[in-house]
Amino acid sequence: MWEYIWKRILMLIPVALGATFVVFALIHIAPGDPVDLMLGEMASQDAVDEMRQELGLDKPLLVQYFTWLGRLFRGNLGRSIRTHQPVSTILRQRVPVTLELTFSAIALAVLIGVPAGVVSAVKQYSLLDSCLMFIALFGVSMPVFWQGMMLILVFGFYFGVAPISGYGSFAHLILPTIALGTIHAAVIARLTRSSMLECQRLDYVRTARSKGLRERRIVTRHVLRNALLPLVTIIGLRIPNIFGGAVITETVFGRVGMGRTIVQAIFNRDFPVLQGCVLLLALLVIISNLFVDITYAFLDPRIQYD
Amino acid sequence: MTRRRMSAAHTPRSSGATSIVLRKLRKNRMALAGLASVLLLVLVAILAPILAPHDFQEQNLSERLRPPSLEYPFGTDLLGRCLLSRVIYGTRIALLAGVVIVSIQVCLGGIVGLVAAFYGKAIDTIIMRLVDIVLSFPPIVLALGIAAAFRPGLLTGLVALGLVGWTTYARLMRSEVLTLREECYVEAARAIGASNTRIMLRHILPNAVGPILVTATMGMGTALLAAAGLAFLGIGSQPPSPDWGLMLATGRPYLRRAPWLATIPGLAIMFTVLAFNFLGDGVRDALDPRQQ
Repeated sequence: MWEYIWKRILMLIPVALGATFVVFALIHIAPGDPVDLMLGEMASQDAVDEMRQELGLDKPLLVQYFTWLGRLFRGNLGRSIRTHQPVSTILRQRVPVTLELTFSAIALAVLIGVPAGVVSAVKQYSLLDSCLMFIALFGVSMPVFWQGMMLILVFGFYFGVAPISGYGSFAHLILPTIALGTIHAAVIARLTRSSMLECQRLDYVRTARSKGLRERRIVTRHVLRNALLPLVTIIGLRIPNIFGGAVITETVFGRVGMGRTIVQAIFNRDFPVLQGCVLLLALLVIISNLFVDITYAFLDPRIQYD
Repeated sequence: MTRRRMSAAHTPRSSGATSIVLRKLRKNRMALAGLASVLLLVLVAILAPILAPHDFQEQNLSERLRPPSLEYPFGTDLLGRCLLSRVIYGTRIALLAGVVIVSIQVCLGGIVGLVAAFYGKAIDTIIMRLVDIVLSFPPIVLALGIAAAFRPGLLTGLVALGLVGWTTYARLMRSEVLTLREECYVEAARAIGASNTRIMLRHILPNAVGPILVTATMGMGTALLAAAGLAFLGIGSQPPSPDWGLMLATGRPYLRRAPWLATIPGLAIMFTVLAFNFLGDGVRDALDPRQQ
């Protein structure tokens, strides 16, 4: 088991390094000089020279990358071009805001999506199934930011039952979590249903049925337990999208997390901050995927640990 | 398309794969509803100048923030522009966005997947690690990062989203090609001395296109949502474009005073995405041999 986990961790290293290269390359894909891009054309010659020095732009690209990577490993992500705060300080303030929303949304999505998908598959072609899948289809077709705005309109303005923006208390988390969580619940419900239906077709289910087991036992013991495995993968695959969705949802609810920081960094051409945020989000996704893999290994005795 | 469908109708006993699929599609109410809605949207986009009651760009400051009325069925926006006309013209941008994004994704992913599976070995490993790397970013975040390097605009947003979403198609194409390249006709083509490029383009590609097209139909909805998201964040279309996502963003501060500004473009996005999802789900079910 531990060997398997170590192996997964080792396999992450090339991917994580690749992600750092992509993030490093972001300022180099634009046509023109990165320094002009960052400081704008109005910058003084001194500032341009200083920036050029700091980035080591006179050196070959790979040397620049390794210098940048070296600083990264020492926790130095550079400083914001606008506020001169270290990027790591900014990230430390903003990450919890995003993580809080992401995790509560994942929890809500799983709590609604999995039972809905299971019920829908067990009662395939029933009225309940049609209704649930119809709702889910609407859910996957809604822009998350629009759903957020409609929640603000209804529960914030008309009923006045929940705070519509800000960060800090549990109440502030309610509407954003519903906005982001229900949309992903819809995705998970659809995938759970097809995963369950897939399992119902398998031979051992037919065997169970033919030896006269009760339907309830077949569903819980034979179908659900096996359908849960692909579900773990499915939820794992949704994680990047949920982080991405959190970034947009934050903007609607005035939460100053990674999303707001990224958008501001883009408008300010503040590349160190932008790079820091994008890289951190990628690392969070990579770590979440590792957790999914490990969970999978615990759940599935068939996994080979060699 | 229509002609093909007609011929399928006239020869009910035809057993070609295409006609079987078309026959199933015609029985699938979901797919038909989706197809009808998509065609409706295309019509709206084409006929926008005829359908729009007002000039979508015309500002009328004395009529600003008017609620829906007979004169302005969807109300007016902050600058007194007719919201209905803007939503109608927005159909053009939405459909264009979906098609451009998905085309970039399909072409890029298709080529990458084809090359990876056909050549295998080291090339395959390197390409699939690249896919893993791209997959480790939340798609919208990587698109934001790429878009940041260029000037904000519709095209920037579309290209950025195209560059991040190709991995699904690469994986799909790869798995298709992995089975196809073992087929007898590929071996035969190789035996008569066909070049690699010719085998890939003439013998493998046409047989791998089907599943890719189904996935692409389903991908339209996702692409539209992502494009709306970028526009909403201010990285896609810029004012005064009648982009639905952008209209939502500009209507947001007036949510309490003029709720129609944010409600209606959102409904337009949802209807469009729903149409493509219906069509995609229907086509997938029609192609699935296990579905009755």
